[in-house]
Amino acid sequence: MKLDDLKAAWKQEIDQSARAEGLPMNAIMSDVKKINREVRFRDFWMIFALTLGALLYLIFGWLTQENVDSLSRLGVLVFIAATAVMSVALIRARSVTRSDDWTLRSRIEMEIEKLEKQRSLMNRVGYWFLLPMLIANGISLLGGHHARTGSLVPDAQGMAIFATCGLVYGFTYWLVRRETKRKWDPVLARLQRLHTDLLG
Amino acid sequence: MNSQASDPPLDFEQLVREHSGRIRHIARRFAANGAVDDLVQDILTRLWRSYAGFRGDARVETWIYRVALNAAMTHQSEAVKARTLKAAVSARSAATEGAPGGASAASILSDFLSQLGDVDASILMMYMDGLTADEMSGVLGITGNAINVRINRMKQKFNDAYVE
Repeated sequence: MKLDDLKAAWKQEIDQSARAEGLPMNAIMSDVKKINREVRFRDFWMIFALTLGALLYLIFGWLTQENVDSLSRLGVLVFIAATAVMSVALIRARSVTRSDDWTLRSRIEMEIEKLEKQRSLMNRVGYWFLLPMLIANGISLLGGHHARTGSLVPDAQGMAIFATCGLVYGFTYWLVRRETKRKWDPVLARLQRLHTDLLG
Repeated sequence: MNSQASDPPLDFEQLVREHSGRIRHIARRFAANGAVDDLVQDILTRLWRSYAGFRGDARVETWIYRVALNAAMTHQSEAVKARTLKAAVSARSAATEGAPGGASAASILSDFLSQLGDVDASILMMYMDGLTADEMSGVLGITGNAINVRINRMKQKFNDAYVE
């Protein structure tokens, strides 16, 4: 028996399988709708949450305050800048430079590029998002304290709040890094192996 | 969702039904037992979404392989670990059992497919389906020459394992 002799067996298997098993058409329709709905929701909530956060910080940290210290203003501006940078970074991480020509190679390379961008973004989340946020919080706290007391030396309460913020951001950083390692690294490694196999 | 994808032509269901056996066989090769239906659904979903862009300038089989293999190989799900395990078990059993004596053509084909890597298995399935090297090249994105080299290697491997 040669390899080409198996072609008839392949055709027969396919025909039998087609006759014996139906297809979940209704499930497909609902799945497509679900995927599109999820993408729309994710984009909406991401932009909404960031805008709302910056807006609230602007209102309660600056606009509704009677005597706003210049340090507090700086804190609000740093916070707004950090959220803007994050929005742009997230949107840019979703785009890929390759065009999809519908070949497997192209699709794998697109997936690898997307995953590498996301992984790199998440690995640096401490530098481009959490650290600026912490600095913004610190400046705002110090500004508030300065406006109340005239002193630039933070009191125990201010330091405790700042330390709590630092712990929360540190925990967030640890969670993000762990999730990246656990969820994305294995998939990326598999895609890279597949890519090597395809071109090898 | 774009308007084209939300309103596919009516004969899509019939077209997919005609090729359901092919789709299921592709899914069985790439997914773990419990995840075959999940992958079939993923493939069908992607076929439906891309149907509006399929203009019939390629064979239906080629289009189905493009979409199905893209889905199967980039499927990011819980099935990844199971698939890796399945491949390891297949490789081990192939190494210890050798060619099944007196087995049917279908079981030999299934056995041989399980011994191949994902890329070679894809090429073999398309080869069994009569796709040309150029058509496979359009699906995989590698040259027809590279595909012919792989097919010849598989033929040699098959001969070594199953031809007495």
